[in-house]
Amino acid sequence: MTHPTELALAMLADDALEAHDAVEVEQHLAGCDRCAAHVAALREESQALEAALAYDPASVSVPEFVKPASVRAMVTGSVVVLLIAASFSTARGLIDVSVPDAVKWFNPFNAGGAVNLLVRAGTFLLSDRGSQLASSIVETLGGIVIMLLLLWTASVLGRRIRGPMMMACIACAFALQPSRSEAVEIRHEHEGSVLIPADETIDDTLIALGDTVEVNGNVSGDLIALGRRVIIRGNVAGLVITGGESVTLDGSVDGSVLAGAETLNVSSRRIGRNLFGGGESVNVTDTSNIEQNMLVGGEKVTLAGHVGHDVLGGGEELEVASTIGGALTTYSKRMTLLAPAHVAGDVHAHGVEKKDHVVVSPGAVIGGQLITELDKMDLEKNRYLTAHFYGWELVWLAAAFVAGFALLWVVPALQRVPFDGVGDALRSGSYGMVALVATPIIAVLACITVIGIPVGAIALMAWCAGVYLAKVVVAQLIGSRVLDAVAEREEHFAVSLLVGLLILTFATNLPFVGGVIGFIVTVVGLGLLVLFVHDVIFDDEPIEGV
Amino acid sequence: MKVDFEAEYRSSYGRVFGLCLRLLGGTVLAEDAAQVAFVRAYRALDRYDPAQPFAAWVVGIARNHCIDLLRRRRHGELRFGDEAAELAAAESESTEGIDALVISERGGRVRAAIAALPEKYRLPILLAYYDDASYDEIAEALGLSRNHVGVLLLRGKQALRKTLAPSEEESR
Repeated sequence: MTHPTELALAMLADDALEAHDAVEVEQHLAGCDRCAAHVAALREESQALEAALAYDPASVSVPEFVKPASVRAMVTGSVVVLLIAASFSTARGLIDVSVPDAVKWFNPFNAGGAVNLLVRAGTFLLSDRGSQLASSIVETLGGIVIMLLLLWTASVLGRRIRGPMMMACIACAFALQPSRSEAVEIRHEHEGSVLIPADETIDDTLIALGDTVEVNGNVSGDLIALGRRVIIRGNVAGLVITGGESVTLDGSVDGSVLAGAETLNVSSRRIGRNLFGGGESVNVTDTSNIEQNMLVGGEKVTLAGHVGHDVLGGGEELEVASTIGGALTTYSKRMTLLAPAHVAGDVHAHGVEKKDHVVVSPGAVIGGQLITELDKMDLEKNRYLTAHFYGWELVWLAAAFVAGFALLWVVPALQRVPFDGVGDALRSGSYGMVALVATPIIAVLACITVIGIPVGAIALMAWCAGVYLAKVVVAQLIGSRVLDAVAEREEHFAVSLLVGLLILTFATNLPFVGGVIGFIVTVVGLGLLVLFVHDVIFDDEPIEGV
Repeated sequence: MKVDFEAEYRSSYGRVFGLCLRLLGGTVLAEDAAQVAFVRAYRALDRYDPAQPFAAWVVGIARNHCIDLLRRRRHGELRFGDEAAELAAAESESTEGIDALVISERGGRVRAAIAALPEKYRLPILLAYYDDASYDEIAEALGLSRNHVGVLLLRGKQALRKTLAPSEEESR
């Protein structure tokens, strides 16, 4: 006699066998005591498993149901919070005090180291909107940012429109990248060197990868050269993107140059557009001629030669001997303007340690004004020892508590933002990072057109509110988790908010790591807010599979 | 017919929370997941068919949400192994069921043994024997065929039988 399979018997015991199969097996059971007994045992086993797993609902204390936020409540909440923040800011303006670093959290325009730098970059772009530098950066980054934003929107809006959005992104990328040549030629030597001799002309875009890349010939398209050592002596008609341990740029480039290297040497007799360079040591020699703008950063930066428009430089130590057609803006601890430097516009030196760390040699000429901005962090080295610091910290805490209380009261669903460990932290962090970086840039881009100004202004306001409230969301999350772990009964959300804010105030004021913690908190919190708003607007998951 | 959501919430919370707790393994996570399930139910109330028991409806939402969370924890993918290979392994095992008496005597040990099972067996077992979900419902929630669910349940129970089989000393 052939017995049914173990699977068939198990499925029969669970009443999960298709009707006709079940009849067949039942017939077999009628004549086979062994299989019948086995099925009976399996049924008993299933029932026993159900009993073992059963959960006594009476043993669970039912928390109060928190109604989800409506879009209207969120708008009201945002307005309330903005009003509170605005009134604090106005009050600050009225009493005319200079805000110390300790309250930087309170001010959405001054939210900690990295955020601060982003805002500064944004305001720099806004203030110099008419200048070539701004428009060039906007032009270069615009395409990338629009693509990122479209991709982000696509992923946020969900599966249905992801396909068309991807197509739109690709179309945008093509539209924004005017191609100078038809094809791409790739030269690749894993360990050896790639050499384009002086008499060779590449009629396409060239991608050269190797241990040593030496381009002596001409390239009629763009050039992407990556290697340990990169030397470019030939002429490139398009854009140059290059990186390596040591990069030397000697030839002439019609487009812009994007270069990153441990040691970057630029002595091109002509860069038709802009130079964006970064490295441990950056040296732009006196033979170089950049027709538009220069943006460089590095530990030690030495600049000479000619720049048609503006220069933006950052680094530990900056030496400038260039002739600059526009303004010079620097972010460095020390800045030296050496002869024969000639800056037609203003010189703006940010972040220098001491006033005398900005040196202007007798032969150097500044057409506009020299503005020096000292590094405030260094001036307030012993801020922990001042009553001032603790006073303002209390003001910050009170302001954040009032704003947070208002927010959580109006939008109770934020009292319990779903958060499942590291995965969610990374996920919301990445959303937050995109929102943090892309929103102000998009807003600035929108402001360039007249129609876009209201959109841009609203986006900037929402962004400011988001950056400020990000900490409230994280504080509430931390507070409620801590209380869950230590408290016996559920506490009012005001208590968990206060606990969370206290923990955050302490953590973000820790020496050295405080800034980083503050930044991470902002990014994660902003991401949680973005995901939350997305869930409120687009959530239609319950119909799936129910 | 209008649903008294608050009353339904109170009466079905325990079951929903229990499912989330069994699936996710942590009280705080389970509370959050249960809350999300009810919030979703609240928003979709106009799509609720009163002919269906409310608790079963929310449990369905919670089931899907928990599986989403687990999937996210595994970077977007839950692995349930190859059906044919699992089936071959299942058919080669001995066929003795666990003594029901053993299970009822050792409820705590059984739960611990289930919690320690690989996820591919643990999820179907919890859905079938805690959630009371049918093979079809489990198959839909996990994106598997009905037969594959049967195979995984069988393999899961075989693994439990091994863990829970009385040791030499006990049977003496």
